[in-house]
Amino acid sequence: MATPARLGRVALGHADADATLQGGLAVAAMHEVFTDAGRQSAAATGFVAGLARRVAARRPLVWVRQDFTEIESGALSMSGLAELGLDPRLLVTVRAADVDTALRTAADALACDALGAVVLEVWGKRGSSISSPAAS
Amino acid sequence: MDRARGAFAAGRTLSAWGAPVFDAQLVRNRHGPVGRWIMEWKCDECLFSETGGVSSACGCRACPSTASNASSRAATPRQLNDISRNTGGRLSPLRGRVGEEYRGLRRLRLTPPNPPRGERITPVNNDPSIVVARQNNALQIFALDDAAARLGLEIGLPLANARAICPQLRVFDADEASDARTLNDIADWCDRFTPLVALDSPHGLFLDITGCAHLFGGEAAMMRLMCDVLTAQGFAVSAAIAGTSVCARTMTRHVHGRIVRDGEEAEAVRAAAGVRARRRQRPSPAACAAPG
Repeated sequence: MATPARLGRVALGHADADATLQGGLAVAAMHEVFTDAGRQSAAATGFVAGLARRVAARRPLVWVRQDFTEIESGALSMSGLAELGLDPRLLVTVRAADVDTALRTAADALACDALGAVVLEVWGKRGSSISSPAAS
Repeated sequence: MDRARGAFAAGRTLSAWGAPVFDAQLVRNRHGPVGRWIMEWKCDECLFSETGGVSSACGCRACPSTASNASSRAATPRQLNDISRNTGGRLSPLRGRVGEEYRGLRRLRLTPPNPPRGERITPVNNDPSIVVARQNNALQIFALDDAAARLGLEIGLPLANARAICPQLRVFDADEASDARTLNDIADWCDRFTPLVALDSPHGLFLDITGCAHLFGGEAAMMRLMCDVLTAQGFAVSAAIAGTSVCARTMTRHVHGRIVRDGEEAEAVRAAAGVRARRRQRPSPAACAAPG
């Protein structure tokens, strides 16, 4: 396990947050994003999109979503992501029927070196979405 | 690689237009302290930043809600539309309905469709706003916000009179088609509470909550949850629960959050009508300003 000092970090741009995170978001690591009772899930989607864009600037992004997330909070809109500054051409979306399939898909995606980041969005008691940049 | 390094919570969006702003809280950090920040995402530079910076106005209209657009749901609401049409908009009186009404428009929608680049329009604005529509060949108030209502303006008042009462009024054109669409979207969302949702156009919804309320902690808790979520999104909501749909609708017009017990419908409606009559007796500033 690499020590924090040897891990690469990507600055978010927000000075306070970067200082707290000791230089920014660690790459080759897993980060979790939660929202309040699923009501703010669109905000989390936008936040995760921003994080993923910071971490994987010009590399492909795999976004794994559970089907139920789409029913609850709507589908990803490519034009919306483009307005946020992401390149939809670099985005691969995967829809999984349940949490197990979503986790398995994300695990497989993490093994791929070409990817800049993998986002796993699942619905559950804690309504979590996880941004997980692959090793870079 | 597979161990949680940090966890963020509650990314709430704070801005209606302009660059998306997140209220992010770092709740777990294995290697250091935690914190909470208001972060702004600059779409052009693809960078988070502090809010209120020099270049904070990026003019980008991508609020994160655009990143998730509403999925087109099953045909339930449309079928229910048919039901409400066939029964003349009134369902047969069944036990336990929530008559739910939102007055006016989604507040975000009150902003003009194309704000000038760089200008931030926040929903927090103390200037009274009204929405006008052409009726009887004159522009009349179609919907209004609380600030306008406090001035004594009311729905149906001609725009000229409204301007005479309050010159700094912000005026917007009504868009009934998007109102109907929005109401449909809310009805779609209400499917989570009960499968029986009917439109009560132009501003109302009927929910048959028979046998559903206990799933959400009772009628009062259910109504509170529903109103809280809609209010958080900028809608003005008035809700009531009654044994008959007509009674529930009457209650929403007079008192918000009323739950009428079984068998007390007639009494409740009479009391509400009394409140209305007393309110009418007070001459409103609008009436004083009416010509003639």
